[in-house]
Amino acid sequence: MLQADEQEWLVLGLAGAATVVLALALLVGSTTLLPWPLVLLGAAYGVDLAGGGVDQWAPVYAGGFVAIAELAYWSLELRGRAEDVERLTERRAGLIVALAIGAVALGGIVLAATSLRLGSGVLLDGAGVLAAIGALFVVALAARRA
Amino acid sequence: MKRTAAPKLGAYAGLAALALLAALVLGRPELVVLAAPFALLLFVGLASSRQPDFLVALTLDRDRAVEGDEVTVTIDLEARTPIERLELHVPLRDGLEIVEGASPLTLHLGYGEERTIVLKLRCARWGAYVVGELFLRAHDRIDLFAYEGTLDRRTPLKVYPRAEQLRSLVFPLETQVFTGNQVSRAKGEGIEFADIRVYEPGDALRRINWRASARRGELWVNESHPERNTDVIVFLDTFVEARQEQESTLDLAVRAAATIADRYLERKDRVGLVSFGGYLNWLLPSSGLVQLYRIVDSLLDTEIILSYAWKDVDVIPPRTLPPKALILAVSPLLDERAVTTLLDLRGRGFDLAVIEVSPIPFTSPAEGEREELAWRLWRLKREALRGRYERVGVPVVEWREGVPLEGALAEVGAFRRQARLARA
Repeated sequence: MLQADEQEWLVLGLAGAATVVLALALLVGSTTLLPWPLVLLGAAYGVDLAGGGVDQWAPVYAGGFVAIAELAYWSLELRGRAEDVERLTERRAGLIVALAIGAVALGGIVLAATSLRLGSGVLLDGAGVLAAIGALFVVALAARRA
Repeated sequence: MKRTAAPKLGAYAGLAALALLAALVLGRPELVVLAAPFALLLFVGLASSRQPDFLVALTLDRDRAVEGDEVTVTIDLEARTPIERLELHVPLRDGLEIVEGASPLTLHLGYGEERTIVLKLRCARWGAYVVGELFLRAHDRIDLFAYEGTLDRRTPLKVYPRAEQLRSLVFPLETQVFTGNQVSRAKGEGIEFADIRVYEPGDALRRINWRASARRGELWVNESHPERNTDVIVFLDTFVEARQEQESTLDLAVRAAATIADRYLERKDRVGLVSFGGYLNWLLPSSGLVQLYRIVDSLLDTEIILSYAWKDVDVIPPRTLPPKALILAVSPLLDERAVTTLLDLRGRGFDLAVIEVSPIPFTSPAEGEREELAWRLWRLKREALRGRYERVGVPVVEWREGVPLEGALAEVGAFRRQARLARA
């Protein structure tokens, strides 16, 4: 179990590392590096959550994560890109804003759903694992069909 | 079109899976909240991914142009499915430049939308081009997939060499038997007065010179120089070229060859072509507009093909070089094979003149004492080569970009006049 100041330093360290990796990924233009800042930020958030109650700001963080990911990928896409015949920049920026807002809304719904008291136990945990696997299965099925 | 997954697809799937797993292990619902948007984006992107369907047509406003002209390329697009982002690229060879419009470009097409893209190209260099191989890449709304493909809408475009200024020509020493614009040295039926002679049975009465006949007390008739055509062979040296950036001696040589062919064909002369280099190409002498197009189309394919094989005049088909033809050679005189062949032609009695497309403007100035000396020696060697030609009666005139071709041909005429006086 981490002490409070140790936890704080760990969170700051992970957030700093995430910033450095993001900057590096944007500098060298590497799409391979881009998910890792988000993983580090997620880890920092997870460490920050330790020992506390349910964070009501989680949906806002979800929106932020989506915005960071979309903006980072868009930044790499714009390099050496063809000339826009029309206002595609505004269109894309609007889409990212909409996705971020949508992520906040969805996060709020998911968080609200998690506040339902359904009890606890191995069965419920197993149902959770099955639901997670099921979600990934659905995604894989959709990928195969597409 | 081939579908490829964008890097985002794997990244979002990994992030969602990692966050879900962490949520289960750590028992934190907040991590599910973080994973949910990525999982949903993934699901929506995969479920809605569709092969884009659209029609593309490409047209050129003309299929023939002259150097310096502008040609308009029109690309008509019709989307049968909405395309969030379509990247379109029309690759162009060196020699064609975009002056209006852009390639590559990106656009959005809604369902059923029709769009016209206009590109204006400047034909910077002569040649045979093919325009219309389109590279396309379509992205879906969430940019998880890209659809790439190539469409073949190729349309030929011939860019002819621009004509150099040329009003007066070099006249061959001998004419041929057909009617043309060249006043022949022979005597016969014609317009230009040549001589008078005693009447012979069969002479036309309208040719009787009554004044001379009255003075001499017997019938005398006028003789004229007939107008005849000539045979001209344009001999293009394509062994090597001197090049600097976008321009080379070959570009100038082809323009000169096209201009010379055009002017002689205008006079009803027969013109042939020999392209002598790594790749031998020839056209038998003929006249008329069709021959001009044959020659110019043949010139469009001219290029330097590296070859170490020794070639001489024996590889040229004999019918390509008719007797009494004027051979106008256009050459930078850089390759020994071309130099030797031209001297050989002169040795076989052909009427020959050489337009030397000077490689000097395409060379960089020498830096350093040794390099300066080498450069001077090279120029002296070229002077000596010109002297070698002139000693056997072949005029060699130097021609450069910016100097009228007419001036060069006038020098040929001056050399031949001087040579005639020297012989007399």
